[in-house]
Amino acid sequence: MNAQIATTLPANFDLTQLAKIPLDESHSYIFESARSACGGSSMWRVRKEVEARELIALAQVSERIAILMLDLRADIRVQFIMRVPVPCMPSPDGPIHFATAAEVGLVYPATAVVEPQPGYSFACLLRPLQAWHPNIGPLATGQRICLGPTLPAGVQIREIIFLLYRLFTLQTAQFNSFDPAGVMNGAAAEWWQSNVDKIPLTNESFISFAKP
Amino acid sequence: MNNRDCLAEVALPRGASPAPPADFGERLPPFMGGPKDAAQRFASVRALVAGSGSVGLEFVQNLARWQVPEIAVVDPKRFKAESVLTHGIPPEAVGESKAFYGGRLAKRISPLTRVSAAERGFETIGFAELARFNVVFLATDNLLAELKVSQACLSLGIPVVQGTVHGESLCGHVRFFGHGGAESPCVACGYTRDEWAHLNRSTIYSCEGNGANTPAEGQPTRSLSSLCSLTAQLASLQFARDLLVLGAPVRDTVLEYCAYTHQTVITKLARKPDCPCDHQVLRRTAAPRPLTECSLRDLEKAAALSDTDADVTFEIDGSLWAEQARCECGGWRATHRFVRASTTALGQCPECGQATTVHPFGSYQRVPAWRTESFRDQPLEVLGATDARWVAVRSNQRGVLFINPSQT
Repeated sequence: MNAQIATTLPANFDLTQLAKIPLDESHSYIFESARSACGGSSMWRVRKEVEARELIALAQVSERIAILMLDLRADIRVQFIMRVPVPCMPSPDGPIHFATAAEVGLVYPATAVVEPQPGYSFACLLRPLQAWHPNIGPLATGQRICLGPTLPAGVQIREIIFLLYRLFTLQTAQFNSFDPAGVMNGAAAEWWQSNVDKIPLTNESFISFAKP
Repeated sequence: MNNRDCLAEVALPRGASPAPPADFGERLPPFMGGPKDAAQRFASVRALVAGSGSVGLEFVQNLARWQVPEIAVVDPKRFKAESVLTHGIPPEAVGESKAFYGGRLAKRISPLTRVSAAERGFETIGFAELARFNVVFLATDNLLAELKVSQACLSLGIPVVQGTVHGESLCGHVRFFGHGGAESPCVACGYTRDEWAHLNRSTIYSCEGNGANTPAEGQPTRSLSSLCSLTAQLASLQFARDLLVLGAPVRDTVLEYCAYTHQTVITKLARKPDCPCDHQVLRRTAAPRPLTECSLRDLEKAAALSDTDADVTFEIDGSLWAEQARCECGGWRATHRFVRASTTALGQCPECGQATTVHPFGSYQRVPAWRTESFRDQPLEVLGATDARWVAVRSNQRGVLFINPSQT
């Protein structure tokens, strides 16, 4: 399957061409179902359709995301599973273990198109529980994920997806618990500062044609 | 005032005379081509001033001298030592709240004016409070605040008069946004790529405690005090011209004055077709009875949305529709109620007995109507919105704002 995908992508493929990727049957179904119920002003509907189309194309070409739910009625709401290691600490004294996938809930409101947003306002980790990561908040916060102090107005969903991947894999992470920007779990930040030999969790890039 | 109102009434200092020193109406000139009821028109102005700095404080004083019936002043900051260089304040005012200083000044100038103030950002002023004003004077120092004022006022159809200065070129700009409808321009319609980039650079939130989201400081004023003052006076005159219908229309125009040349240019403001901001204007309508006694279906009917109005959403004053809460054990609990946006804990988990919390992915600021179908006939107070002051009902094409009668 990966070989087939590799041969159908143009040689000069880059992510700006996601919109041109023809969707296969299952991904097309997801897109058309969501689009049929897309609501809001005409500008907002156009934006949502573009974002949804790119997200679904990204899921198709990367084989790293499986979309469970996509709702375009008001905000963009998407629930998906990302194939990525997620550090967890089920009991306070360890040991740490690594889940193989993250189930994420992402909400993209209309205001995000025009106003910069706090980095924690978009995504939360639905599963696994007990994540052990400096930028993922405790369960009481819904395991909110902080992608940085601020994300710019009009940030695209695919950029959020990439930020999430790099965050989960600790390819980028904010550790310094004395600088609160981005740190949602101070104890985890200190732990990872003492265990930098385990970072990053993988060097694999988001789009990889290697078998999982 | 409701105890959730952000605006605090400003009282006269003890011993001050409650009578105005003179009557403004008796000193009005007979404007050429002006209306006979000029005094009454000034007496209808209820103004909110967003930003009480080098330009905004001048707005406050002019409004007070016009003895308008109501002035509110909103500014989160305090005067610093360098404020004395550009603001119309004495050194003794350093350290004081800009909003309350302006409010107290206005009250002393016009004791009969209802004056209120808030040492907060404009975004804390809810629809119910904002809806009682019929003009907003905008003089903030950061683009995010400017955007929020513009969005809120456009949705309520409240005109905005903005004064800005560019110190290096000795230029002052007065923008008058009429906000007369969906095709009216907003502040963002005129934003260039540089301004969007500046907006992104200058807004920084903090993840500290997962609560603080204070935007970064705005640009300090680097201008001569006289330019700031002159720009405010020009803006005030534009407003007066609009109020009294003097001369050519001023709504949806920008006036640019340059002190290098003493030339003034006036151009039209136009709606940008691909402006990313929401240009929907909410029609204000009376609720059939107190909002907490109304159901969502009552409000949908009262909004008179037709069958062609698709994708109806509901938004309630400072509340979220919490569809699901989650426990520390990971269990989900269906809640289906409105909660205050600041609420975290919501009942107990039936499995482990621990507190459940409102889940960000299971809550909605604007809840689609289909998600409330099973609850559409229950009064809002039963659904948890026990102190709703306003409800907005929106469809793809139109929107309606209901404000509690006690708020008006």
